[in-house]
Amino acid sequence: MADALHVEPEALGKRRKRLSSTLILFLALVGMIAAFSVLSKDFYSFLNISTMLTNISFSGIVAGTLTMILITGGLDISIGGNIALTSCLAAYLFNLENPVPGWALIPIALALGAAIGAFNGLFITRLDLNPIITTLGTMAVTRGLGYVLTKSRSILIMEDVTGFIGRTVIPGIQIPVPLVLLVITYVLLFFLLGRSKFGRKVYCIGANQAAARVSGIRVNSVKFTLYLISGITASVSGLILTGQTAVGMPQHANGVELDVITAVLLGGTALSGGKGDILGTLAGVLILGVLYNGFTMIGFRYVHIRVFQGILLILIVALYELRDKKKT
Amino acid sequence: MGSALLEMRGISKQFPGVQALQDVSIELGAGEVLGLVGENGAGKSTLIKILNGDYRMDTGDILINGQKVDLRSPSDAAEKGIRVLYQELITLDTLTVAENLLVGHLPTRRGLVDWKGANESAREVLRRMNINLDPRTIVGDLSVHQKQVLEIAKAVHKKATILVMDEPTAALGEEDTLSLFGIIKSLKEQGVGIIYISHRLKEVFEITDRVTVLRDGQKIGTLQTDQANMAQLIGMMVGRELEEFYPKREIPVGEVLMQVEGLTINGIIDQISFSLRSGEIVGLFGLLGSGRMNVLRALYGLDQYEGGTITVKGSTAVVTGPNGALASGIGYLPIDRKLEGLALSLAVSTNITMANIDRIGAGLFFNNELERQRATKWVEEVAIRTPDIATEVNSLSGGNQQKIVLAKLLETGSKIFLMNEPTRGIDVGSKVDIYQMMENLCEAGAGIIMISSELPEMLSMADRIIVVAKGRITAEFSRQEATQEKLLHATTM
Repeated sequence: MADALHVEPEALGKRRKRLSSTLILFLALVGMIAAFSVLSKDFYSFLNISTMLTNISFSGIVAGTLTMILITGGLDISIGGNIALTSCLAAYLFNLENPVPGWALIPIALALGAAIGAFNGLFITRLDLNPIITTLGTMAVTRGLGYVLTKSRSILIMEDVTGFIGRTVIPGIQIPVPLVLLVITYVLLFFLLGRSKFGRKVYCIGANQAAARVSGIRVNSVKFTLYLISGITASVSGLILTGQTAVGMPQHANGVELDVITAVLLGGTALSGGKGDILGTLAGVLILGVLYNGFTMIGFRYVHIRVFQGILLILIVALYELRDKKKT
Repeated sequence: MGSALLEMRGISKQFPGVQALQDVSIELGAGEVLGLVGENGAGKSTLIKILNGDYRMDTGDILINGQKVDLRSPSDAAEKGIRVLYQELITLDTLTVAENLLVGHLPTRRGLVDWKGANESAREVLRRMNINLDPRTIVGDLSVHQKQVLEIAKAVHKKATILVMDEPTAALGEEDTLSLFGIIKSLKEQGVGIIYISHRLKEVFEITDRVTVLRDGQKIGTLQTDQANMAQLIGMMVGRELEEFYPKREIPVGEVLMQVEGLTINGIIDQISFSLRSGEIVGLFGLLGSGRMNVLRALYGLDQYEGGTITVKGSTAVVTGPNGALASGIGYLPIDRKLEGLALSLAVSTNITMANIDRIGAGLFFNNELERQRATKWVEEVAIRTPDIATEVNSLSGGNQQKIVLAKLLETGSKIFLMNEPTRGIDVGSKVDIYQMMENLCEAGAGIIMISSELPEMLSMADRIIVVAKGRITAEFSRQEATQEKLLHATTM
């Protein structure tokens, strides 16, 4: 892991500082794993770890793209609705009198995600609308459409292509497909944000949008692309969840925004923009996954963990805020 | 002089990394107008903010009528009769003249505001000061000068005896300036002491009794205005002979780089036409609101224009935005580096390459090693003083920050440079460095269009000066012809 940390985007400022805070996060992760292993004999088992990683895959993927949006100072809270609508649409189409074949569900789902992302991006860039309000609206619209499409019921979808994406464990290496998708997403995003010209523009926009514009960066085009990518990755997550549960239902991914935003902020991305990276978010996603799983293993219930998570989110923001205040 | 109305003794103030004021003393008598001059960053505003209770001084004393006072806040200052009229007037624009004048002690009857009484007493106050304003007018409808007069009336009404005016004529025409001077004279007769801050030295000579010069946070001296002359004053302000301060070289003028024809933004600029040749610096001079900045912003695609053509090197350029302008070889130095110039929380190197990201590395990938080389080169060439290229820009001084913005422009390889106040608020040493770079650029065949509100800079660095007033070009002078008087006169045409 230390090697991976050395390939941080260079010379973006505060480099050494951020390196160390990402390192701290990964050390904390190791500590938590150790602690839960002691507290629960079932925690450190192949089956549990594999289940846990599968469970965090769908939210982890969208956390990656949300990191980039947060760095530009934006936000996308429509991802949960997007995921739900994707699963509803897939199940609906598969259960028609003339079912849409499984292989065709993939491009349709991705197109849906792209359309939702483009819708967000268009309103946020062209009309300069507030991203929170815009995507809040989209969240209501997408989830609402999910209820309309399924008549508020859960629709079973026993189908092989989504099943492969969501349920299959690759034989031999014993790695679940969702985890493979998570890893692919993070490798791509790592290069996109940390190594590409596009990623550099993302940081510049986040640090000072007006200066980025004067510097010839096409701010609207970059932001639009980010919301587009966010929409597409949300539909990928939607397909994973559909496969995992074999059900399309409008309540899917309810409250996933909280998980995702908590993970990204825990990873060191600043709400004010201009700061953050993919490795930090990966650490945040893993920590959150371990906490959820670990607390469940030692007997806490979901509702209790939810309360704890809300408090954690506020604590994280407060801690980073205090640190930044101290520096200035 | 007995005990002066106001004495500031040995005032020092340090900000992180800057000694803003060092052992500065000034004295103001009753009925006196004291001019306070100096370049941007000389310490004038810090001194005034200390007097107004906005800042606390590190060391020094403030005495009013020989009594030591402790000014911890603007309300402390107001209580002692001190009133500062800042350049940006703070009026309550949605309220009436009477409300603005009497704010805080409007007359009441049975717990409700007595509007009739309020208007009556406001009218009385204005009449006594010989000011022709209707108390019922909404302040937002007043002109800048009328607002200023209102603010002065308010100050006098609240028994201010020390009045500070910060660039009071910056947004005024000639007529309003004369009217303001009339008011200043009547205030003098009433025994009010006035500190008058202005970049316009001609006005300083006209209205002040004595003038104090600050430079780099230190007091250089105080002169009796009627015994001083312009050259002497400028010399004190810049700290060296003018020729040495402005390293202007003789550079032959070459081909036309840019031709602007009939540039029009409805209601703001009208039919602006001029050309820029390689090797020359063209100055755009005008007052606040004249439209000179809109010309520059339109040329860079930051403001939309309705009419006119921009021709770059013989072909018509369609400047639809900064990226289009940069593609045509036009670079822009914004007036406010913190607002539009720099990503303050990012590294020196990131900022330097910010306008050239697409050319750092092949294909989609950004080449960090190439960036390091480019940034290192510019740090040396533009003499940016920074611990290393990974340092965050917000920890550097204003002068070095400005050089980074300049380096960013140079990195784009532009041939046409639009510079909006290129040396605003930076130290003298950095100024000379930037002038040197401008001359180097001209020698290398570039052309520069410059806006500057510092007249000496305009007169010394520009080869030609185009005067813009009310959105139109009213005059053009060569470097040899131009004088401060001619320029200011042309702004009123």
